[in-house]
Amino acid sequence: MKYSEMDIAALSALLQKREVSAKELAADALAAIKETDGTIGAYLTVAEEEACRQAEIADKMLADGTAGALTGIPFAMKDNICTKSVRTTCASKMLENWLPVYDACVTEQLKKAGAVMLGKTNMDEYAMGSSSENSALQLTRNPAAPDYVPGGSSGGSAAAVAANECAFAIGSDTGGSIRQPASFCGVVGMKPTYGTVSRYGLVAYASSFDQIGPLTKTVADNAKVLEAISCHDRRDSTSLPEYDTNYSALIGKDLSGMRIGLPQEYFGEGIHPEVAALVQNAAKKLEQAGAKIEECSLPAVSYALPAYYVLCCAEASSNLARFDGIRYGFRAESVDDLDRLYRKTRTEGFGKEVRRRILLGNYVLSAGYYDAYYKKAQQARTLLIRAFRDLFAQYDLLLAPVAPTPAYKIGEKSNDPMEMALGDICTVPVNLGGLPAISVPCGTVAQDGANLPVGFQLIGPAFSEAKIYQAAAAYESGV
Amino acid sequence: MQLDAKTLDTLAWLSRLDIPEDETEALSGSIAEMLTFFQQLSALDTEGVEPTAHIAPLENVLREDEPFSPRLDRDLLLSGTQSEDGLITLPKVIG
Repeated sequence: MKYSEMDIAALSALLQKREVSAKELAADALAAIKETDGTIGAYLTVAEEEACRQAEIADKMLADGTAGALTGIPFAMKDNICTKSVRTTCASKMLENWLPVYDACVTEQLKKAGAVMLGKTNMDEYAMGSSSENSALQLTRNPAAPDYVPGGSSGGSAAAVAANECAFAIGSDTGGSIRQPASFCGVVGMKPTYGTVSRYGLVAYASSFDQIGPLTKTVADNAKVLEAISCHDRRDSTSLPEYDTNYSALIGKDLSGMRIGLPQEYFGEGIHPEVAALVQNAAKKLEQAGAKIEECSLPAVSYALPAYYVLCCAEASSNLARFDGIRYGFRAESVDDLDRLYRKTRTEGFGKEVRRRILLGNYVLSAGYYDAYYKKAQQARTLLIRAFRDLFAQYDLLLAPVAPTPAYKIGEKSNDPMEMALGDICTVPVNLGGLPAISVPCGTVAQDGANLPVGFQLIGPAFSEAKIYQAAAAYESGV
Repeated sequence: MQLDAKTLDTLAWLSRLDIPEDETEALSGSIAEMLTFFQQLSALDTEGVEPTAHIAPLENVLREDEPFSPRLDRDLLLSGTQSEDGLITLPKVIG
């Protein structure tokens, strides 16, 4: 097996035994990117020099006995996470040449662990989208079927893992942006409990939802990466206080006594029958592994999607006010008036979808509409949180599809933002509740000669990551 | 449903954006479509329900005002789009 095809656990064992060096692994991964990324388009920036420098540090850690589970492991970072002196574009013309002067907390954590960053991955501009087609800079293709989208917004990260262009990748999930591309590309993606991973240095989209998480080849790898990146960080006021972050603790333990609910609303109208069948099949396998599976009901999901879009557009309109052509990135040319400078810069610098969400956000926050839209959506959020809380009094975890369909063809939905938004129905409830949820591959759907990956989603109450990984790993080991 | 031109103009001003002429029709249609979708929420009984602004189980606390970050101010200033002598330049504001 090639190094690039191996998971973190296998690579780490080889590194520890000194059968390969971090430098050799980095060179191998960079060669894999050169070979395949011309077709896939997962990376916006390949940071070759940076990777070699970090590999040297990793080799020193391996030599002096300070290495950990991620030391020397090559990875990719979503391009909305700050990396000092490596451009961070958010896949936007606005930040196309922007070099951050500091590292995000997650970048610091991975450097501390000795992981080796290969580069920055493509995404929907400012993480707004579900197919990565809203990138202003590049098209990313699904490694399983090149005519299909990789999902989004962390499409580049999911595609890089699936195409063996890195051992793991970091993404961010505001309304499903880790889980949905993980499902479309056939990799494991985790959105942790809100506040688990510091948002310091993550370019803000919708701050009350944004959460960073890992995309990996296996469930065990995923837990290891989350252990490395989660920490309390005083620079993010929503960062949780220290708590038990031994996410791998329950992996390998049997599922007897675990109660898993199947909310029927996730299997209703609009769900591709083969997707529903694959998720039901995953439920059977979990049952065979010892879990007790029961159908249940979560009617509150029916208003999750409008509530989510009201709130995320409102937060985006506020967060993106900072891009004014003065402090960051792009500035429009030939303007003598400050107000004209703002407007021209923002109109030329932002893509269509970003401008649409800013306009929508300002609408729902306007006097006269605030109560009817924004406050109403916040109240709907409260009701959904209560509904989840009630269900988790009966169940340890919930099982659902990640997306109503497998990946779709490039261009199929890109001109219909409403249609694209409807695809987020299964993922946004988790973000409204601040809950952890994982996407785990559970088969493929054959379509037009392509085998399109599908994932199932395990959702838990806050801080239940260890239990989610336990169930996900039990499923994975039985496949 | 279309958004009327005056509302779109106001939104554009609030957002500090221009609406390119060739995008006006599609954009106002798409915004109106989303607003119609948002109206599904009006059917929900939210009488007496507290709005959730944030999910974090944290309380606002005050800390001592002690510097703890590395001092980035000069680097940040220089990372502005256009700067001169360590200061950001911008169009003349006062006539």
